[in-house]
Amino acid sequence: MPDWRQEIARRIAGLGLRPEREWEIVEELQQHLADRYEEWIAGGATAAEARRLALADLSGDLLAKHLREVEGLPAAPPVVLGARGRGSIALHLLHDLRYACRTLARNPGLTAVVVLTLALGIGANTAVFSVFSGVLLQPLPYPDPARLIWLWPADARTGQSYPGAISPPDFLDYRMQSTAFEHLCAYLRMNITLSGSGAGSGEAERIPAAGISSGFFETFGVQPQLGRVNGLADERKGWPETAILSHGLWQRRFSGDPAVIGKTIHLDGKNVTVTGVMPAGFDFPKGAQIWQPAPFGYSEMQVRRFHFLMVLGRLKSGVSIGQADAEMKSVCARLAATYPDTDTGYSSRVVSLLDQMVGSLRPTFRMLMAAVCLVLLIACANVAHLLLARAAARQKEIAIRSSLGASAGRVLRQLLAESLLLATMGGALGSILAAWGLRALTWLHPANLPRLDEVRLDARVFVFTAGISMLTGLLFGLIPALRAAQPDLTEALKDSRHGGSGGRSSRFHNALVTAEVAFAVVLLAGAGLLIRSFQRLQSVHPGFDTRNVLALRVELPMTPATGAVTDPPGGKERAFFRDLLERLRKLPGVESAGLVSALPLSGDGNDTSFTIDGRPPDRRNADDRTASAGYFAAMRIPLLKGSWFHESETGAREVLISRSFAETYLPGEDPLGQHLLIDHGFPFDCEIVGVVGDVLHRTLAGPPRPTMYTSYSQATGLRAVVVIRARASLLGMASAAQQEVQAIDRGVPVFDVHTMGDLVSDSVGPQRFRTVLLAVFAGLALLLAAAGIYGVMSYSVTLRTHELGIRAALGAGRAELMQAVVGRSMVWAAAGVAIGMGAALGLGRLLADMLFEVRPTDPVSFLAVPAILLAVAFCASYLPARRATRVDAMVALRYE
Amino acid sequence: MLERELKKGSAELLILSLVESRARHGYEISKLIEERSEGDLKFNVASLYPLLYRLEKRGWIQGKWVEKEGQRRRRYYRLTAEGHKVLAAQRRGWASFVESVRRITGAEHA
Repeated sequence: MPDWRQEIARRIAGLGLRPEREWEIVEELQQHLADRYEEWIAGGATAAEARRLALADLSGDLLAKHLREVEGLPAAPPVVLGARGRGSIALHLLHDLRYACRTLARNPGLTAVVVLTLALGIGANTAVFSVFSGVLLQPLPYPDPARLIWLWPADARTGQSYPGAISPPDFLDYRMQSTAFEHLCAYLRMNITLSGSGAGSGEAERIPAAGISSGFFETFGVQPQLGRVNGLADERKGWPETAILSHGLWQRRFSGDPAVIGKTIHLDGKNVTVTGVMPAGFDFPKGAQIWQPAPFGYSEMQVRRFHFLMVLGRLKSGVSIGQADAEMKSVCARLAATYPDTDTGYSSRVVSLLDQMVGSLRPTFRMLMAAVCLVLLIACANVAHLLLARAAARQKEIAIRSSLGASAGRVLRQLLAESLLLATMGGALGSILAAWGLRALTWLHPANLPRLDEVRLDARVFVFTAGISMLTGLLFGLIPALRAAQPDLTEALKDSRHGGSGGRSSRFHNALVTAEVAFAVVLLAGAGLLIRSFQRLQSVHPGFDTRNVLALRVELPMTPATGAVTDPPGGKERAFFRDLLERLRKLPGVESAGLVSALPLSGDGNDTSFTIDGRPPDRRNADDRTASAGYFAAMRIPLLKGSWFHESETGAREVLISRSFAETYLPGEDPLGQHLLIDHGFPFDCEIVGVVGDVLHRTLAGPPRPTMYTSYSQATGLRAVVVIRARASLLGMASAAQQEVQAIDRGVPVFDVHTMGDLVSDSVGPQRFRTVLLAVFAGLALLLAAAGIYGVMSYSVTLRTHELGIRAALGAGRAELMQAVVGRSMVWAAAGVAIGMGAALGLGRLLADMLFEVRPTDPVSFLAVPAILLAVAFCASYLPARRATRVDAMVALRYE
Repeated sequence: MLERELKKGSAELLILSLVESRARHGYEISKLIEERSEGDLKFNVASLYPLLYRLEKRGWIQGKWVEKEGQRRRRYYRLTAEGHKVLAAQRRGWASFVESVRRITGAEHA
């Protein structure tokens, strides 16, 4: 059958029709002439005659003339496929995009699948990136934030910093002796009770606050909205006499009245003058609503052994963190030489403030970004496969356009326009999914992920999403487009149903399967390791029983040291707590109640040096808690040896030690009756009366630290956590406890109410966060990979219908056919599993730091993952295979 | 002038009535016109298809690519609702025109 398409196209080329309209007319007339030709041949004409006669039907220029009248096109520059140099690039682009829109609209099912697949991949990337960007990349909201630094204490021998604090005298020396900083300041977190008529409206309220050195606000480069900030004169006092309010507190309690400056308010029952109000948005340390000058003249502030200040600063411009760090190390060395008793072994380390806040999250986010990249690659592979299959079906159309003179470049551009359009749609939908995902992330919000409230879909995220969408479009579109743009014209124009079903094509599809499986294996293996590790972490026994335990903080107002001792020190406070515990124990449903200075796994707590009486003073160190006997009962911490506290206020000082304390510092000895000299700034001699079970105070992921417990009845503590064990339900317990506190003293607020279960659960927040996210992404990867394998298998089965028909006709049974189909896909999947396992073993080492009691080569994960993948691959190829084996041999053969 | 309009009008009428009962493709339409006029009327490609496209643009007929088992892909045209109305009106006009002609010419020959 002759082909008149080129001839027809030549005659109507001058009309400047839209390509698809032109193509339609060419096709229709070709069919007409073909019918006419067959008619002539049937009538006995020779092929040449029939050809000539059919061509005559086109009647010279008449066709173009009549068509011009009908199509009524303007004489505008015609856009001819393949024509060069006519029309601007923008016009071409617009045209390509319009054409792409129509093509995609014609295939709504395929378009929807592709867009959804891409949206999942791009959405996951956008969500993770927006958190990454908001938490790690976004500069801190202060002027010139790169110059803000944090000063950690460090071990002088190793230079390793540790999360601890710095003593006030050391801080003052740092500030005096260093030159690298424009400002160096210190703060400590505290809670203050705001009360009384002078304090605006409302009841006594416990308010998060900070004690700050001078230069605190200057370090951040923030000016007060009203009044002045604290200066050097304020910090020399023995007790804070002034206060600065946050914008929120000023609005809430003082109705935003500017006359508040100079007014007297009651903080912890003492008169204090308001000197300033900070602007809205200043929130450091997080949540602080009142800032008071730290009273460096106060006696406890002059003990070089008490480490409780956080120190930060602003570098002078031009000074690097490295230079500041080196200077601080030499300052510390000088201090150690001057004060060998207290400063030996202490040094410090300068890090950027941003690093201090979020640096520990970097590995988690690097891992999550890698995970979502893999998800996106799998999505790309799926889409590339779908487009390849469609390109095969469209080869005829493309061949016609090529034969009409469209250059390969032009066709390529057209197909890429389609890919980019798909990617853009995927990106748009992905952004919506990401917004939902972010909401879910906030819901998952680990208590200790800082700056999460600063995460939003901003311009940076938008640029990222747009960029990744374009990249994705190129990635999945380029190969199918390159393949399609250079079709074998003669092959394609034959009315073949098989499209481009050559070996080259199916090999490419299979390679896609292998790649998808490999990516999915890597993700699943990673998720498997984290899940196993998290399971281990959750099954760790913290050393106490978390069920039915409620904890709440009670802080009595601090009183300035008067010097005139009328009561025994701390007597009033001890009476308060003793009274409170008695009342609580009488509440219905309460089994036991006790006090502790800091709860395990709450992030609070301190460690103290001590010496064992009769041994050389070699500065040993242990976690230090103050507790009442009721605390151990409420937490069900067992007594292993000796006795509990005798709760006598006047007798010999008593201490309980933990099992690991005994094993570490008194191995093979009887600890009972030994004396410890505990360094609470002043020597404190006490006798070991008992050994209790170990408690994981700092983290579930690690060994217990040696701990010593001194008795509340012998302490001068103002603050305590009240721990209550209920017989059954904790319902109503918190408000009942609060009522008891206020029945004794209305001015004492209760806050930080937690169940122990929540506290333990929150302590593994970061681990849960990364485990849940990686598991979600791995699940997504598995789903996409399964869809991809299914798609490739269905497609290749369709291509192989003919072959399978022949086999069936030659007597192959169903089982044999099944094996032929499933077997082949399993080979490719197995190759993917093998590659993925290799990669996962390599990458597992990168996860090693995040794993708890699970090795990066954990056999359970590494056996389960291939099994899951192979099972999924089997199911995904079984269904199309079953369809293929049901093919009637005759039907299959008739396909030719 | 009248002749040209008449011819065009009659050609449109012919096509509309041919696709009235069922959808047909271009070649089929041209064959039917040829057969039913016993070879008197012939449309070549250059006049038939522009005419079909014109009718389609007016919304009187609608073309659609159809692929039938064992056949080539062809574009089939069917009469639209609008086309039905136009066809009815044209038929009435044609009938009265023929009637007028018959009265004039018939009177001469009677």
